Amino acid sequence: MQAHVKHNVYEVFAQIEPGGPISHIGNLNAPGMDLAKTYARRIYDEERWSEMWVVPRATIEVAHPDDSAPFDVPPASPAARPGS
Amino acid sequence: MTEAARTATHREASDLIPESSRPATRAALLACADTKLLLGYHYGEWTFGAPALEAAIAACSMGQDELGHARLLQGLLDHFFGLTQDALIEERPGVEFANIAFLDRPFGSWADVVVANALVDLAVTLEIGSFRGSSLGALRRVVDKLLQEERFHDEHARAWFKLAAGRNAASREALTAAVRAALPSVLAFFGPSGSTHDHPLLQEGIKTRSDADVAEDLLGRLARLATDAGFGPAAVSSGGDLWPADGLPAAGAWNPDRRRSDPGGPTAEVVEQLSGARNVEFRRT
Repeated sequence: MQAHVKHNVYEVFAQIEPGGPISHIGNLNAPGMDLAKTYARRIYDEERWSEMWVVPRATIEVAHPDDSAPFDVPPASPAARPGS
Repeated sequence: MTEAARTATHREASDLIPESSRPATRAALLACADTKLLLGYHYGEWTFGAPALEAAIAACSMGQDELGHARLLQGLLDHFFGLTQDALIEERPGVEFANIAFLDRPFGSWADVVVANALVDLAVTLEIGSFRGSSLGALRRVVDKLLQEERFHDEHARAWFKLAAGRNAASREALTAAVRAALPSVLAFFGPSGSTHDHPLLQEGIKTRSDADVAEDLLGRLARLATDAGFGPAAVSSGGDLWPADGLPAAGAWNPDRRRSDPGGPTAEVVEQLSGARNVEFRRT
């Protein structure tokens, strides 16, 4: 068997108390979701987590890339001004 | 040492084993202890050489579990039969070990690790499960904890088995060859077809499930896994893709004391490493 199996990065999230804050606790490389979940439980076992989630990094989308950007509207047209 | 291995055992009336059941009980516990010891050795070896650091951590972690379980079972062998750790590890040549024979030889590739995980590890786990509710108190109290720690091993094995089967023709071929090599020794662990070696244990309530049932369970689980992995539904039947080309060993070759048909054992070098003979000056006094 060839040793180099394609791996993807998975981000690992967990919470200590049910309903409590969800923390990002790290990431790992795995060749599939089944092994990502298996690895996550064994690698990040420093706490007795109530829940743990594994998310492929490639599926995570940026929600707020730049908060300072203004709402994008077209510039006002001089012809549209009242009284002009 | 794992949590299960830290569980203390205390001699009590329920730990008296009738004379008729002592050889088979001893053989079963010894085979489990030796197989776990060798599994721990091979998993530990593959801490380096695994396909990724995460796989290395998993192999190392499973190795730690197996060594802890082996130590716990050695404690039970001492408790029930007076077999000390020295007698079990330091004073036995390889041909007296009772491990599943697939573990005698070095693992040539990650496919061997996956198959040891999927078949050999599962076989010992199911065998230990057959002592659930045992009449022997010291044994009964540790079974559930051992099984709990094996859940991770099972998840790991199934995920890698499916991955190896589906990746490409070469990995599928390596996996197939490893299953075919392992299966005869894994099934020999449960005795030849029709064997009555564990009947006294079942009658005394020491075991709650026969080895024949456990072997059938193992083949059923393997057939389901093989189907999930894209092999045909009859892959684990005589003549199937994963069935050994030479069939199973003859019943007459089976040694009930070692629960195996193969007369060999781990090499002298492996036994030397298991015993720590090269570092004898650091040994306890």
